[in-house]
Amino acid sequence: MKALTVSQVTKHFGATTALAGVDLHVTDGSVTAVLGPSGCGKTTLLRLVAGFGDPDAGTIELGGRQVFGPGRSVPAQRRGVGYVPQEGALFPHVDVAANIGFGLPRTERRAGRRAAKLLDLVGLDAGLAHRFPHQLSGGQQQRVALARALAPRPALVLLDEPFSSLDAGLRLSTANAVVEALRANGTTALLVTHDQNEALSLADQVAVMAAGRIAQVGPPRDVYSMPGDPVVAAFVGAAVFVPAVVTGLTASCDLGTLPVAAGGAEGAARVLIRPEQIRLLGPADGTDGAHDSGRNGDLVGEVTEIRYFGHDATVQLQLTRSGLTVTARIPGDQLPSPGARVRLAVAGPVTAYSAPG
Amino acid sequence: MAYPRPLLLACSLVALLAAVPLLFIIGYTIDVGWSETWRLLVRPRVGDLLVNTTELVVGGMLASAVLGTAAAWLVERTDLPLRRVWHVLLAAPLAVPAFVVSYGWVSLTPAVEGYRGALLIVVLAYYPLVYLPVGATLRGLDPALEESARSLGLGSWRTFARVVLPQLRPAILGGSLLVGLHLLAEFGALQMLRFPTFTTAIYDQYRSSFNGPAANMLAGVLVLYCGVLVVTELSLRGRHRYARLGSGVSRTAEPARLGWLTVPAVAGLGAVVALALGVPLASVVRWLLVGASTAFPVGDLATATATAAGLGLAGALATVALASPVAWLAVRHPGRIATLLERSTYTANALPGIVVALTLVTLSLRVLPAVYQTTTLLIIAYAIMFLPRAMVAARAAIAQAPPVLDDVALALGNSPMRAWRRVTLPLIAPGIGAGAILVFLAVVTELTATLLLSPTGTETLATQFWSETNDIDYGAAAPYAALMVALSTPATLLLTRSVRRGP
Amino acid sequence: MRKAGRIAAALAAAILATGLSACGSGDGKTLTLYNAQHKDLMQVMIDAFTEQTGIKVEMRSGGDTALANQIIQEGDSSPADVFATENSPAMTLVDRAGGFSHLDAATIGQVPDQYVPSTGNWAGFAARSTVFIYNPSQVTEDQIPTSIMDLAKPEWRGRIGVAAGGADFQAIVSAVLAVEGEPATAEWLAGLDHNAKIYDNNIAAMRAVNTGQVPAAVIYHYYWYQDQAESGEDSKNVKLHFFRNQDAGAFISVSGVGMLAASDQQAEAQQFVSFLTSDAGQRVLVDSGALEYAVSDKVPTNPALTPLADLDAPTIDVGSLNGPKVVELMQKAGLL
Repeated sequence: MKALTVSQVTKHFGATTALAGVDLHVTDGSVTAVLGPSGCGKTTLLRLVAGFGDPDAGTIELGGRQVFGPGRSVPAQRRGVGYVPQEGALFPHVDVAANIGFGLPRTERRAGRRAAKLLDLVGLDAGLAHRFPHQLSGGQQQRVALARALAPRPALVLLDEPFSSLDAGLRLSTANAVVEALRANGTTALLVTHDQNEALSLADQVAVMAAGRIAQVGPPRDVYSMPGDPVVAAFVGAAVFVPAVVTGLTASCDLGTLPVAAGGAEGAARVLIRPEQIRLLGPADGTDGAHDSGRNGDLVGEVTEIRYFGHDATVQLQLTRSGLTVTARIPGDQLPSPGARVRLAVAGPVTAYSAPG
Repeated sequence: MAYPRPLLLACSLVALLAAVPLLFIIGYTIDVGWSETWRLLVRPRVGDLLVNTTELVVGGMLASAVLGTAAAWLVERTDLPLRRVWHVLLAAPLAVPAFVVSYGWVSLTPAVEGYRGALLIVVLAYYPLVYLPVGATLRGLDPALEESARSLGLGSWRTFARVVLPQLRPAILGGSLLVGLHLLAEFGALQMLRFPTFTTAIYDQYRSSFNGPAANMLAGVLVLYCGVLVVTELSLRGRHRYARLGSGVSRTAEPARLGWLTVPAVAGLGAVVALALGVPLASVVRWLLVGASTAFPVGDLATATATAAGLGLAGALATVALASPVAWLAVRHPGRIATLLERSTYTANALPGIVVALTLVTLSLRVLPAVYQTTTLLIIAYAIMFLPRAMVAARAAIAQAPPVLDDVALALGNSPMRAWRRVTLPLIAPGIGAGAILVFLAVVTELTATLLLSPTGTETLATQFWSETNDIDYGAAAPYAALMVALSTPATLLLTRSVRRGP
Repeated sequence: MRKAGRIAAALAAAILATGLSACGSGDGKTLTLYNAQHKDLMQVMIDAFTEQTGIKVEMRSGGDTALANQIIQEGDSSPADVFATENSPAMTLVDRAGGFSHLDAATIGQVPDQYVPSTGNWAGFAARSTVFIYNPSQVTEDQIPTSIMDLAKPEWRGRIGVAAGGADFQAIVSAVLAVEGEPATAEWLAGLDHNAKIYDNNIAAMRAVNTGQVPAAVIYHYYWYQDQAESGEDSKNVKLHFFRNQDAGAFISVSGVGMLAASDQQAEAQQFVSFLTSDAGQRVLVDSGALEYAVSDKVPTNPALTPLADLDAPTIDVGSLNGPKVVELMQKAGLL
């Protein structure tokens, strides 16, 4: 069962094309992240699904019911879609309980049990019920906003960059709490974000958007490891592109001969290597700078820059022979010293794209 | 951005209405012709008026800025004793109309006549226009800024001058501009003090020739003057970005210790309150006692009070109703057209009531004689004159209700009407209400437009007060002054409260 | 919500109330008087009129010239039925614009000829004399000017108060214009512009003389007499000097009343004008304590006043005084 089906939706604002034919399917009970840089049209898509505007063309179905199509547009208030905007947007003039109860019928609002239950669901203390929004921290506000959206039991919840205004520490914990609550409640969610980590870690399905189109949809692992094109590849994570010649399932390049994932380009190409695929094998022996390869034909590079993150680190290396610069991500406890010459190797298959131009 | 048609139409009508007096003056000037305009404008009297008006406006703005800012700093940022009491006392002169302050002083001693007296009295009457916004800004200002300055080695005074003052600049400039615009249009207070400015001269012209060319030419100069003030304020404010004030600063600043300066500070503030509030009120009470022995026309007093209150309410309602759609357009659909429409509602800002009234007399007689000398036309005049006050308040109020809240309410199953009623209305109501209070206060003390436009036989507190004061019957004027203050006080208290809570 | 409802209800009531008071003249037996005379005096006369005829009169107050120009601007849609002034130039203004109806012979017959213009379109009903007032502690007997024209001389610099914006003083200027001609008047006004301290009205000017703020002023006589009759508080240090000798400064100004051509209550308006100029009306004027002169020969003047005949005023045709010219000259001189 599809909770949401978007077909061939287009939207223009004056001369600007916001959406150029978008298709998206969201399965019941899943969390889908729409990932893209600002201005790619992801927020527009979300607003059209919510009913805050009408597409120029295309159809939108919610739970099998067409809410937008030729001659048909169900207004937002009758779509039964929950909405969590940026910074929560709690109603400042009423308390937390009233915010949560806002979408409930009067009788249920009065009872107040639902508010308590939802506070519990989003991991907040029931004692917050009678606080006002300005008395809450940003993370608390965001959780209340989710509780408010969930209160009328919507089939689908839309979240518009819900964590972008929170600081780093809060962001992670709030995001986890929110998704946990969504899953516990069995609610389908569509999350719009420009943060790759957020999209990859929270969602069952990631849809990468660029220039008003969905560039790729799939499980986070597929999107990350087998991006459909270089743009997606660069957007979902750090990427090293190296010119190569592909023959069948191997690519030969400055980093040696590497296995290539099936279905890529043939002949002159460039291959995508993720930094964590580059392994450091230890110091290069001797002072024989003229040879690029070590004893066993290993690659050798000189460490030009190190960025240490604690749990891991990135190391920039300049390959001795070709002068190519690549970035490797390595565990934080295996740092080389700056200027050191190290041996390196590439692990796992790489993805090949036809050469530009 | 596409503008909603009906809203755009409504806003255009409001903007046109507000621009009527200005358009009339321009049309009139063109009609009069160049040589006659020259004859009426380039003469010694106009020069004298220009000097007087400039002296008063510049002096009044500067003195109000210094006094208002100093008072606000003392109340908000020092360990002054009884700060909350001082706050109410310092804001209270807003409830005493300028011509009542003037009356209080002039009935006490004729020494206040002339420039110095006029300057003293307008500053005492109008400094709260600087005090209130500066105080509100100081309250919202993150103390971290001042702490950073201290940690960089700046003392109290240099911190104030180099860090706080620049942050206060928009509030000080905005408040001073308001003072300036009020001074340009001030009539009653200055006429009593025999200090002629453009506005009192226009009134003299009106007395000598009703709606003659000389009055309209002077009004034209006044409009230009107002334009100069507004442009100067804009350019002084500059394009600097000021730190966005946090929505809720949880910390309050550590108050500066006054030490031995406490005594002069308290004495200074005490003097301000005594001069601005004590003298006029004592004077009113004194004349009340004198007047009570001669005449106390209860019937007239009651009628005038009811009429003033009724007109105040009707004027407030009408003005807010006209201002709200324009403010809505400006906030929710920003763009060139919205800006143009919004700005044009400010055009009547510095036009004295007499000019607006004369314009409406002439136009209504030509276009719609049925409304001439009716309450309807009077209310329209109030709306034109006081639109800017309602606009400022309505804009701020509507900005407090971002459209995302409407979206959320819709998504939660509310129809647009219901969403508006449950979310937008409760959020903007206090701000719009503050605008209505401002207009109410202005209408209750409005004099010249009321004199000219009200239906025959309609008297308000202000017109009765003026007519008695004109006959130098201070005792008979006192009850009307007292009632104006009484009628303004609750509204002013509400206002200081809502400014205090602020956004 | 309920609170808003209550406010709305109160508001509706208030608007209704103001609206009703505005429509009070709907029953056809209420005259609208544009009144530039002193309100108190006119109210007393109206009360007597209403008692005699049952016709109510509503007053709209303002200055002479403003109301006159307003009537002209209103034209046919003027709500006014009757117009009464303090001084004649404003009456002449309306008359020349064709604003008045012709008064009936009986009414004109009640008023001595010198107080009725040749057009017969309005009638004088009160008179007041120009007077020079001074503070004896600042102006000695020998310094008292012999003519109002002397006030333009340098020795009066900053020592003379006038209410230049008011119709009273402008009427006095119109007399100077009538007696002395335009060039002399222009010169005199230029001198006055240097010398004069400007006050809002005659009372303010008299008070200033009384407190010594200005040594002397030119006003009308009754301000002083009224104050003397009440408490004398604002005139105890003020002495009067009448210029006499048919000097322009001995000008007697005539308050006029006329009925408007635009009025649809001509008969009632005529009744009102007739009443003001009748013996009964003149008696009310004399008894009112206003201390203006009655114009009727048959009603004795208040004994406190110097009889009109003793003031030796210049002879000026009451319908000839030129208000707009005076305003133009005063603007040129800088007094306006």
